[in-house]
Amino acid sequence: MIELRLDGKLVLAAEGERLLDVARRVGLRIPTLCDHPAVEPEGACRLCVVEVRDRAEGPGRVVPSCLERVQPGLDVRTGSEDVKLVRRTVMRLLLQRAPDSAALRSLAEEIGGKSSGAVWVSEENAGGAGCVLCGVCTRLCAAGGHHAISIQGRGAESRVSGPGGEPPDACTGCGVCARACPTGHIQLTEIAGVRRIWGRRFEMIRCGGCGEATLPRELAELESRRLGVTLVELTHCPTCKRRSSAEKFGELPARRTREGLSESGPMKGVAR
Amino acid sequence: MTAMGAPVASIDAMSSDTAKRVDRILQKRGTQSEQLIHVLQDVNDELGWLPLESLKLVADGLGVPLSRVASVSTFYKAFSTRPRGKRIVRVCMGTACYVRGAREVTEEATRELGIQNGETTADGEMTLETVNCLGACALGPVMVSGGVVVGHLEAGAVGKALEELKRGNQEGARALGGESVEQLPELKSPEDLQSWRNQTRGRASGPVRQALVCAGTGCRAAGAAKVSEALARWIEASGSEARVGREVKETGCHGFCEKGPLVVVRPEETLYVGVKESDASEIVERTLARGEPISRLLCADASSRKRVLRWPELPFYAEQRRVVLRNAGRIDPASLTDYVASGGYDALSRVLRTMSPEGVIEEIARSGLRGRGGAGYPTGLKWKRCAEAVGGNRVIVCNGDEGDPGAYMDRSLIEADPHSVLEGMIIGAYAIGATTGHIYIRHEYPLALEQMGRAVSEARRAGLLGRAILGSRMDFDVSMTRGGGAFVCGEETALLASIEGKPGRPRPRPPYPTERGLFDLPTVINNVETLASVTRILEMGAAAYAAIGTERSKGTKIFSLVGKARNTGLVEVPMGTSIRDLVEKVGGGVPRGRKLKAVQIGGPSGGCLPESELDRPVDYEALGDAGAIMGSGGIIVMDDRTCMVDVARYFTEFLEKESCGKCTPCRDGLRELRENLETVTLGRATAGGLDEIEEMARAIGLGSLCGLGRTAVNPVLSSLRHFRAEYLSHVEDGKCPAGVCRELARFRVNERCNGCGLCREACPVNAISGETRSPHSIAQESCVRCGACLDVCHRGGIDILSGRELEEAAMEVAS
Ligand SMILES: Cc1cc2nc3c(=O)[nH]c(=O)nc-3n(C[C@H](O)[C@H](O)[C@H](O)COP(=O)(O)O)c2cc1C
Ligand code: SF4
Ligand code: SF4
Ligand code: FES
Ligand code: FES
Ligand code: FES
Repeated sequence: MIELRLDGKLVLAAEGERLLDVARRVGLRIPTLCDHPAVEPEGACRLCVVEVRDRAEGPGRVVPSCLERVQPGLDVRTGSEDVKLVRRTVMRLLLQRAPDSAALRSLAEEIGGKSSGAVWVSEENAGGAGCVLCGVCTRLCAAGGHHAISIQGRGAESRVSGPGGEPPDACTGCGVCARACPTGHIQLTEIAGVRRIWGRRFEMIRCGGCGEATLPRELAELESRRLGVTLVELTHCPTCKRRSSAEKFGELPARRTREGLSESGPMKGVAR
Repeated sequence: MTAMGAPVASIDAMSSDTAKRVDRILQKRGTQSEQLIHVLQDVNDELGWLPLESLKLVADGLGVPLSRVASVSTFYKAFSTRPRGKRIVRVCMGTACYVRGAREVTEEATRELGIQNGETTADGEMTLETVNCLGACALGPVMVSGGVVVGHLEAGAVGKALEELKRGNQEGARALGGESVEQLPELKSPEDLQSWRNQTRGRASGPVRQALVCAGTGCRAAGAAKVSEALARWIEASGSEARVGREVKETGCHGFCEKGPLVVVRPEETLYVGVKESDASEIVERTLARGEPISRLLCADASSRKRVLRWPELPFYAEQRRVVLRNAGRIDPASLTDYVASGGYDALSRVLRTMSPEGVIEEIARSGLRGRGGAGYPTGLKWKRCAEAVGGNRVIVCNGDEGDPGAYMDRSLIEADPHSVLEGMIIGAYAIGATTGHIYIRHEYPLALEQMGRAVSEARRAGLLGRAILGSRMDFDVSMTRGGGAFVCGEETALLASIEGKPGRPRPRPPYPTERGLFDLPTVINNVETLASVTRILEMGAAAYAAIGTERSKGTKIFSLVGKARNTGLVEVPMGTSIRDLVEKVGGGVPRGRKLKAVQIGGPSGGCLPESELDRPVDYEALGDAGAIMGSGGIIVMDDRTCMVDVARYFTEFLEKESCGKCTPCRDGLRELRENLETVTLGRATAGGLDEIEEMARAIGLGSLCGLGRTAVNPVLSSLRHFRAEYLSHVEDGKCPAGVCRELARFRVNERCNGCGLCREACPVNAISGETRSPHSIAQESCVRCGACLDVCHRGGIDILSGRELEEAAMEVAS
C-alpha cells in the first residue's frame, strides 16, 4: 500500500495505481475524454490533468492523471489554478471541433470552459459533431485486430480515416469505433438489414430466434472461423441466447417486445 | 480482377510496373516491419510520390496493416501523396533565412512560377515547396533543387536562379569522392592501430604545401567543387617535378560558410575566401609553389577592414576555442586514414585497453559534460541510469535530427569529422554495454548522410565496428536511419518511434528511454555534439575539459551564429563567454550601420533576449533565468528591422505546423495562439488581448504532452517579457516600429534624402519617384510595404510611421 495526499487528504492506494483511478475511487470527479478501459492510456486530450508535487514545498508539475501512477508521499491537487487553466483552455479548444457534442457540453459545464464557436467547420464535421482526435476509435480498432482506420496526416490536419481516405477494406463493420466515439463523429447507419460505416456497406445477419439484425456477415464469418463457433450460434441475439439457455435450465422465458430488443441490442444508441 | 479491355490492360501494365519496382526495393531492404520508413523513402524516391497502390504493395510485402502504412506516409513531410514535378524547388523558410528576407523570396518564387507552395507547374516541370532550414543558414536566404544550393538570394534574383535550376546546373550535386577506395588494414589490436598511425603519419608529412578546399554544404553551394577540381588540374599540369610536395585536399566545413568557397594553404595557414575557379592557377603557381600570398583573396576583417593573412588571426577565429571542431576543416572527412593520422580512435583504443565501463562513465561525469541536444541533462548520469537498468541488451542512439531552423552545428560536425562522432558513440556503447547503435540524420542533409555512411562502412572494414573491436571483448555495430522531415522527431521518444518505423509521435515519459527505449530495450539517446565531445574528453582528460567553462556548464559549445551579423557561421567558444562577445567580437557586429536589437537563442523553444541582457554568459542556468535556453545553440542576431511580434508569430506558426497533433493544447492551442498574434500584427488586438495571449501561452506550456508544446511558448512569453512596449505600440498606436508588419507600416521619405536614387531602383513596384539629387517621394497607393527602400538607404532618409502619423504629416504639409 502506498500513502499519498489527494487534495489535502491522506489516501491509500495500491502499487502502480493511476491517479485517475484513485481520485475516482475516493469520489473526486476528474473529466476525461481519451481514456478508455479497453485500451492503453495515451495522455492525448489533457483534460484529466492534475498538479503533483514530489515534496510538499517543491515546484508543481501538471500531469495527466490517466497516466501518472501513485508514488509514496506524492501531493496531488486536482483543482489548482494551473489545473483549472489547462482544463478550461483544452475544453474551449475541443469545443471548437465539436460544439454540439452532448458529452463535451456536459463536461464543459462541469469545468467551466466556454465555447467560442465552431472553428473546424468542414463538410465532415458539419452538424457540430467533429472529431476531437482522442484516438479512442483507432486504438479500439487496432486492439480488435482489424487495423482498418488510423490517424493520418499530422498536427491540426490529422484525420481519422481508412487508408488514403478510402473505404477501408479491413473494416469488418463491427461498429466498436462508432459506439465509443465521444462526439458521435463516426457515422453508422443501419437500414433494412444493411449497415453503413466508413463508406462501406455490410449485410447484417439476422438472429435465428427473433429476426433482429445482429452482426455484419463479414465480421460473423471471421469470428466464427476464429472462435470455432457456428454462424447460427454466433448470430443469435443476446436476448434469444438468454432465453434458450433459460429454457434449457427450465426458467421462465422473459417476454420481449421488439422495442425492448433494440433497446438492449448490441447497437444501443448508435444508429443515427 | 476486371474484364479485360484495352484501357484496363494498360492500367494493369502500369500497375505491374509499379509492383516490379516496389518489389525490387523490398528485396533490397528485406521484409522486417521496422524497414517501413526506409522502404517508403525508397519508393518515394523511385516513383516521385506514394500512390495508394504502392502503399498496398508495401503493406503486403512487410506484413504491416495498410492503415499503419497510410498513417506513416502522411505523417512525414518527405513523403508525397500527390504526384510531383520533375524538379522539386525548395525555398528555405528557416529562421536565419526568414530574418534575411525569405518571405519575399518565397513570394517572388510563387509569382515567377505561377503556382502556390506545394503545387506543380502545369508542364509538370517544377514543384515548389518550402522547407525549414537546409543547414546552409550562413548563406540565407537559400533555395535548393536536386542538390544544387543557391544562396544569398534576393527577391530580385529569384527569376534568374529558377532559370539556372531549370537548366539543371548540377555542379554542387557531385558526390564527394564517390565510393571509398582507401586501402584499409584490418585492425585486430591496439598495436595494429598504433602502427598504422605511425605509417600514415610518415606519409602525411610528405607534401610541403597543401591546399585545403572546404567542400561543406555552404562552400559547395558557392562552387567549391569546381575550385578543387581546377586546383588539382593545375597541379597536374605543372609538370612532374613541381607536382611533388603539392596537394589538394577536400575538407569539411570551416565554419565561415558565408565567405565560401574557402581555401587554406598549409603550413602557412593562409586563408582565401570567395575563391573562384579562375583563381586556381595563381594559387598553384604563387602560393602552393612559393608560399606567396595573393592579397586580393585574403579576408578583410569585418571591423578594421584590414586584410588578414593567416586564418587564426581573423577575429572570427581568434575568439574561438576549437575543441570539438579541432579537426573540422583540417582533415578529409572521407578518409579514415586521415582521421587516424590526426590521433583518431586513440581514445577508444585506450578505453578498451585500460578502462572499465564504470570508469568511463565516471570520467564523463567528472568532466561535467551536459547534453548538447537542448535540455542539458548530465551525460554521465544518463549513461549510469542506462547501465543500471534491468534488461539484457542496450542500445545507443545518435540524434542527428537537428530540426532547429537556423542551427547547423550537427550537420557541419558530421560533414567535417564524422569519425569523432562515431568514436564517441562506440565509447558510449562500451560504457553502457550496448551492442547495437542507430544514427538518425535528417533527410535534408544529404552530404552528412553520405559522409556518415562512408565513415561507418570504413570503420567496419577496418574492424572498428563489428565483432571483437580492436581485439577486445566488445561487439558493436550501428545502422543508419534517414529522417522523414518532421521537427518533432528530434524529441527522443518520437525519434525512437520513427526508428521503429512508426509515425513520430512522442509518448509520455516516464518510462524514460534509459529504462524502456528502442524496442523496449534500455536506450541512451545523445546528440551529435555530445558524442563528439565524449571523444575529446577521453583524449584530453576530464579534468582538462572541466577546467573550461563555468561552475555548472563545462567545456565548449558550438553556436551557429546567423541572421544580421557581419560574420555568420559556426563558432565554438568556451561556456561562459558573453553573448555580446559572441555577437560583436566573433560576429563582427551588425552590418550596414544598423542597431543590434535582440538575439534569439535556442531555436523555436528558446527565447528572445534584448540588447540589455547580452552581457549574460552562455551557460545553461544563466540563459534559462533570462527566459531563453541554450537549446542546440542557434543564435539569431536581429537588428532594428526585425519585429519581435512578427518573430514570435513566426516561431508559433513554425511549431503549429510541426506539432504531431497528438495532444490538444499543442495541436489546437498553437493555432489559436498564432491567430491571436496575427491580430496584433494586423493592428486589430486590444491591450486585454495581450493578457489573453499570455494566459493562453501559459496553458499550452503547462498542459502539453512533450517538450515541443511545453517549450513552444517560450518565444512568445520571452518577447512579451522583454519587448512588451513593442507589442503595445502595435496595439495602441497601430504602429510597427520595425516596419515589418505590412498592415501597419507606412514609409515616408524625410528631409535627409539627398536624391541618390538607390531606393527608387530597389522598389519592386516602382512606387518611388524623384529626380536624381532632389528629394524623392513614395506613392502610398502603390507601396506594398516590403521595406526594400529602407534596407538600401544609407542616410536614414526613410521614416517608419503608423497610418495615423502619416495622415497627420500629410495634413501638416497641406496646411
Ligand atoms: C521538440 C523537440 C525537438 C528536439 N530536437 C532535437 C534535435 O534535433 N537534436 C537533438 O540532439 N536533440 C533534440 N531534442 C532533445 C532530445 O529530446 C534529447 O533530449 C537529446 O537528443 C538528448 O541528447 P543529449 O543528452 O546528448 O542532449 C529535441 C527535443 C524536443 C522536445
Ligand atoms: S467498424 Fe470497422 S473501423 Fe470501426 S472498429 Fe470495427 S473494424 Fe474498425
Ligand atoms: S472519431 Fe471520435 S473516437 Fe475517433 S478520434 Fe475522433 S473523436 Fe475520438
Ligand atoms: S483522459 Fe487523460 S489525457 Fe485524455
Ligand atoms: S538554411 Fe535557411 S534557416 Fe538554415
Ligand atoms: S561549408 Fe565551407 S566553411 Fe562552412
